[in-house]
Order: sequence, then C-alpha cells, then structure tokens
Amino acid sequence: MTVQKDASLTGAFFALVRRDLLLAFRRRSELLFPVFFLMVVVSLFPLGVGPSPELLARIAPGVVWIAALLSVVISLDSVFRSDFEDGTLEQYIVSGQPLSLIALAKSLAHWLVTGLPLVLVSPLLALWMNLPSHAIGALVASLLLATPILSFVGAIGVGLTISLRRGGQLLSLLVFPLYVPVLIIATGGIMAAIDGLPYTPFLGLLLAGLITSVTLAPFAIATALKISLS
Amino acid sequence: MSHAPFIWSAYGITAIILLWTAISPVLRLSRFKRDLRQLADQEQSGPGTIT
Amino acid sequence: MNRKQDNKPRKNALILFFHKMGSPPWFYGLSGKLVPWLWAAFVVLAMCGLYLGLFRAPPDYLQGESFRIMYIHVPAAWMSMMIYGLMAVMGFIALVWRIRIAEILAMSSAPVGAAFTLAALISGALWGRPTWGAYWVWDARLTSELVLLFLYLGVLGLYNAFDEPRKAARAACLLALVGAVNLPIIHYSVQWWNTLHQGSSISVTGSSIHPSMLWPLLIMALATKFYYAANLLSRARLMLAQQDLRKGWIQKALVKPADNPLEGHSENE
Repeated sequence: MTVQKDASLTGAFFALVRRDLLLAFRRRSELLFPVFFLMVVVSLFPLGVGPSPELLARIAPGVVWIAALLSVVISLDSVFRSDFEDGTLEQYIVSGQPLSLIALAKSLAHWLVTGLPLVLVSPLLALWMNLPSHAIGALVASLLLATPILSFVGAIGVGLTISLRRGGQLLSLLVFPLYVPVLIIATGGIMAAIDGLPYTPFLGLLLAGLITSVTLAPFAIATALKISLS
Repeated sequence: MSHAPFIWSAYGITAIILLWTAISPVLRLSRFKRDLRQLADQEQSGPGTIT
Repeated sequence: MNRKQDNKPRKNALILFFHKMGSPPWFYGLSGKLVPWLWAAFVVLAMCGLYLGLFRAPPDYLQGESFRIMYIHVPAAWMSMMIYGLMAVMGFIALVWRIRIAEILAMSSAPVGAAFTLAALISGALWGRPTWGAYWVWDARLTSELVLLFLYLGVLGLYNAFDEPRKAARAACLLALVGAVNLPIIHYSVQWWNTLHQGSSISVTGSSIHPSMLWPLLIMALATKFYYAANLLSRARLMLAQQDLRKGWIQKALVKPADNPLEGHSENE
C-alpha cells in the first residue's frame, strides 16, 4: 500500500483504517478470539457462583462489563504490535502525516475489529446471565458507546508499553484504573434500566466520555509512541 | 472492645511505612558514595596493580 | 532591547533561580543543605501534633478513642492526593520543556505518594474496624484511595520497566498526566457509586470538629508536607547522583567532600 506524500488528511485516515481492517480480516481466526474469550469468561460465572437466576440477573451488568474489559485489554496489544515489529510505526513517525491522526485511525480500526463484535454478541450474554429483556437495550447501548473509549484510552497504554519486553502484563495494570469510571457509569445505567428507571443520563455521560476520548486520546497516544520509539 | 490495639497498630504501621520510605534513599546514597570511593581508589592505584 | 530594567529585579531573580535549579551540581548542593532542616521541621511538628492528638484532644462523642487514627489517616490521604497532583505538574513541565530536574522530581515523588496512599489505606481499615465493624468498607474515600494506589503503582511499574532512565521518566510522566486527568472523573464516579450502593454515606470526621480536635490535624498536615519535601529532595539527590555517575561534578562532590564548597553539611545526613 502506498501513501502519497500529498494525500489529504481524510484520505490518509481512511486508507489507514481500510488497511488495518484488511490485515485483520486476513487472519479471521484472530478476529474471533476476543469474542470467544468474552463468552468463555461470562460462562464461567454461572459455573462459579451457581445458576440461581436471581443472583445471575443481579450480577449480570457487572459480569458482562468486566468480561468486556478483560477482552479489550487482552486484545489491545495488537493495535500497534505488528507495526512496531516490522518498522512501519517508525515510518509513520517520520512520515509527513500527523501522528495523532494515525493514532486515531488505528484506534478506530482496533475498535471495529475487537470492540464492535463484543457489542454484537452481548444479547447472547444477556440471555446467559438472565438479564431482564427490558434492560438489554441499555446493555447494548452502553457497550456500543463505551467500548470505543476502552480502545482509545487503552491505546495510550499500548503506546507507552510497546517497546517493553513484558509490556503486555504491565499494560493491563496501567489501564484498569483508567477504566474504573466507565465501568461504574455503564453498569449503573444498566442497573437503572433493570429497575425501570431512566438510563439515558448514563448514556449521556458515556457519550461525553466517548467524545472526550476520541478527541484527546490521539494526542496522548502520539506522544506516547514518540517517547517509546525515541 | 478496646480501641487501643487498633490505634497503636495504625500509628505503628504508618510509622514503619514512613520510616522505611525516608531511610531507603539515605541508605542507598551512602552505599552509592562508598562504591564510588572504591571505584575512585581502584582507578587511582592504576591499571597495573592487582588488588 | 534592554531587558534588565530596574523596576523588575524580582522577576529576573525568579527566572535566575529556576535556571540555577536546573543545574545538577547547584541543585545537589542546595538540596543537601536544605534536607536536614526539613527533617527537623517535620520531627518538631510531628511531635507536637502527635502529643496533642493522642494525649490532649478529648475522646469523640460517637467514636470514642478510635477517632485519633484520623490524625494520621487524613493527613496521609491529603498527601497522597497532593503528591499525585504535584507529580503530574512536574511531569507536565518535564514533558513540555524537557527539564531533567523536573523528570527527577516527578519520579522521586511517586514512591512517597504511594507510601502515603498505603498508609492511608491501612489506617483507614484499622479505623473502620472499631468504628463500623469491618476492616474494609467500600466507601468512597477508601475506594478512591485504592484506585489511586493502583495509579501510583502503574507509574512506578512503568518507570522501572525501561532500561534508559530519561525515556523511562518521560513515559512515566505521561502516564502520570493521563492519570491526573482521570483522577477527578474517578473520584466523582466512585463517590456517586458509593451513594448508589450504600444509601447514606458515612461522614468520617463528623459534621463539625471541635477546635481542640482540629489543631492536631492541621499540625500533622503541615508536618507531612515537610516530610514530603525532605524525602523528595533526598530521593532526587540520589537519582541525580546515579544518573550523573560518570560526570565530573559528582566525582568531586562525593569523593572529596572536604575540598568542595558545594558539599557543606550534606555529608552529615
């Protein structure tokens, strides 16, 4: 794939997203790994706490969301790993294109490949965890709005740890504190929906978080990458 | 239930944590200075001497 | 254009001070002289505060004697947050202006902040047991402190994972900044989460504090600030010495203290 030096910013952006999606689809088995991981983790809970429907329904929002966090964290490393290893990342840094735009494109591609499938499989998880049907909308909406936050904020951590030997382990410890507010707000919204209360304020907060992350995180990611590759 | 053991252990553990945090850089700096002096002495005695 | 105007001598002195602080030998020497005085101030204030808090303040109407843990728990919690803020500010300066002393000060703050956070958590748990019956309650303050501890450990872990010290410091400073931006969000979401799940939140210190109970708290709070300053400078000196191992000024400063005017009192620390 060639990126022309006088390519427009939007052109470069879409080219990058398309490239990452194509690369991901070539390894289709790796695409499904986060989804399978999510399903396995969620199914462990009934096995661990017993199949009582009331209990499962009560812990359903937290369980699905924590499993989603784990799945995203496990798959985060891939956002920059292959580009780091074959030198493409250095090329991005010295290229004329702003690194934050590249970070934006790669984070978006990462979410499309790992986050969006989680959203699509969530109704099945709701069924397994006996989540009341009127709350499934809240679950799906919260995942849809907040998994991009996880990808974008997580990419900052990946940028910081990409050059380390054991970066993957450290990465999970770094990003989990940053994910705490998302977890609290998202599960709060789903629990409000279970009780029949309005949950749009929670979605509003998540949307605000999404907009903030998408606009600010790319700069932090770019700074992190420049530090790691310096 | 007497509150005394809780109070004393809270103060005690905090004291230990803060004491350790305060002392460790001092110990490391004196060890560093000692190593540096040994290094300087070895360099001064020249590469020909066997110590 | 002549910048040295007679009516702005203080501004020049301030800028000159910051420039000097950036010079390793000057920083090493000055901090060496300051550290013993800072420790002395801490010890004096801590003795006062502990005496007043443990022996002079009357027992609390509701909590009895256990409220005395407040005199270490609250200052430790305040310091844990203040140090993180300062670490983030110094990290910002280090990243934007690439000043090495700022990097060193930020990284030297992290272990001190983590220590205060740990002390706040443990003292909070020991306060909780006689007061509310449980060693660990997921109240807003303790939960926030726990997340703060994880943030500190992340900064420390990231710093220690790199081989090259300056790169390590820059990466850890960026992480500290990202954490600082998140901290208010974490704080408010945890506070809201706590009210959601526990109903009325328990106020740890009560609605109003009698003056005789307040003074020891303020004195201990001031004492911890001197502790931080003293510990920060001694850690910063160590880090500076280790980084500049091969440079001439450190050999002179450490190996032949009698001849070097910079060294002064610092040999006696």
